[in-house]
Amino acid sequence: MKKVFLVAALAAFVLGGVSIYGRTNVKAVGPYDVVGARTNARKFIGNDQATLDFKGATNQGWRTLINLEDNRYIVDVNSRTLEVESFFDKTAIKTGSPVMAAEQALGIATTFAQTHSIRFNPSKLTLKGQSLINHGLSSEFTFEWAEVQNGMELPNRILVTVDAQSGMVYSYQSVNIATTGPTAPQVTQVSAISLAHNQFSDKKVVAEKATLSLWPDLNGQQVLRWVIDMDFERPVNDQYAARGGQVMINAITGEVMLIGIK
Amino acid sequence: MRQLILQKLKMPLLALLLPLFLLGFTANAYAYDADHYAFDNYTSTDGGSIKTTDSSYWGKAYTGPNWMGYTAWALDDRAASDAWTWAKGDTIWAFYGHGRAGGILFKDAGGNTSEIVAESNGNANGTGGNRGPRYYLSLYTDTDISKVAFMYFSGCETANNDSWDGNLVDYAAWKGVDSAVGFTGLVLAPQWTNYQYPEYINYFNQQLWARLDQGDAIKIAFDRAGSAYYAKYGSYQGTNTYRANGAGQGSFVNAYGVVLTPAKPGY
Repeated sequence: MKKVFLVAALAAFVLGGVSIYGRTNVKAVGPYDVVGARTNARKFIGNDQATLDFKGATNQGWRTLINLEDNRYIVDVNSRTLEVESFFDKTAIKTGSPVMAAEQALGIATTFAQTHSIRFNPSKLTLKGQSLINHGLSSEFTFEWAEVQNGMELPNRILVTVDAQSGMVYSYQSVNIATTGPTAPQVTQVSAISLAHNQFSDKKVVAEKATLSLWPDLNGQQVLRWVIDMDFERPVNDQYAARGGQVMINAITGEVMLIGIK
Repeated sequence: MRQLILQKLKMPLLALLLPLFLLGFTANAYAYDADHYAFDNYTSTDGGSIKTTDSSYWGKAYTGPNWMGYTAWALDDRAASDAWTWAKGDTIWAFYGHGRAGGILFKDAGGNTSEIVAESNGNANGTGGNRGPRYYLSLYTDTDISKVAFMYFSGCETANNDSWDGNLVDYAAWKGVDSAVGFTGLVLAPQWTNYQYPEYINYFNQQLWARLDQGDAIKIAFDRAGSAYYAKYGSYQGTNTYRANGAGQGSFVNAYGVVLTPAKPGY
């Protein structure tokens, strides 16, 4: 009898605690080809024995990623194309100061992109940016390639980060979309900049950069947009004053889509 | 006979089980606090009329009892004095608003501004301008915030050094926070407009808390949130410039490796 009480009481206590952890599954649910995704993920990392457990799927609006993970890797596979579009190697991070130059890291990143991405084509992709970022315990070089046509950035991108201490590739991200949206802006760059300035009429703009880019919205529709980044004049000795702003403008309709302050 | 025994047992069993169930529930759900400070009342003279309350909304939702299991609060438009004091009882402490090297800006519902800054080297106003009362991380005792697992300064340049006011992330780490994180670069916050969905840094923070809820450690959660941000905007826009510091949680878990779910105390 005592055992019954004891077990029941223990179960009640545990259930009371566990009950709060029941949660809504925020991830996308659907019939995914997990086997196919895992096969491609294993090919990508070069280990056909990698566990890569299925962790769910993430809906990013215009794409859904199948999430696979084990002790070493996190690999996200596009649910439609089964192409690896995101990869992290948790063992690549080594704490300490950078021990390599940017050129060396670029060589590592380029080789990785060439051998892992079926779409990496140096003649089509432009090295858009590179940076060394100190995250506190470690640092990473980030390289970003984008497909650029007639000064316009298309959605196809490849990003590779290299740990500056271990020299290993820590992450790989890619966006692979065929161009289906408009590529001829109806709003000129001058008009877009003027429109952007109007959103901050109380600020003095000291520098600006206009970027024309095609990018999918949450529904997957490709939107041609002007992204106007501005630096503001700031009062002396007030570091809270706005450093600048960004205005995103639909390059076909002229609609101001988004206004940001930094 | 069996039925008789069961009937006799029924009431005392219920009387015992109900309190134990409730005890188990409360012991797990309400032991650890997660405070989220955001603002929708900044004006142009405060650094721009941004709105960050989407961040506190999602932060509270994900860290709350139904998800990660903390007692969570969205504390919008509060004074620095509240945030400085209540940090002493928190496991998670997050600020979403205007930042600078060495300081973060609060504005209460009455329109009064105040700051939390890392330390004072003698200049009462530092480089933040005259923003009202200042509360210093350096004035915490060695145990005041040592049980905080995650202190997050979501604002521009909050991980940078100021010659007068010090460094928020480093000072939080020195006071024993397991993982303190800010940004070295500039991040974008949406201008005060009724956008339908969280935008810019609010979108990043929504993704960040979702990843932390799913059990990711601090660094990988920031990196995956950054990846989601890139997928939405086609650029990181400063969100990949996070910088972490902290004692971590024992010999094998550094500031990158802190895991916040399910709810548990700081180390």
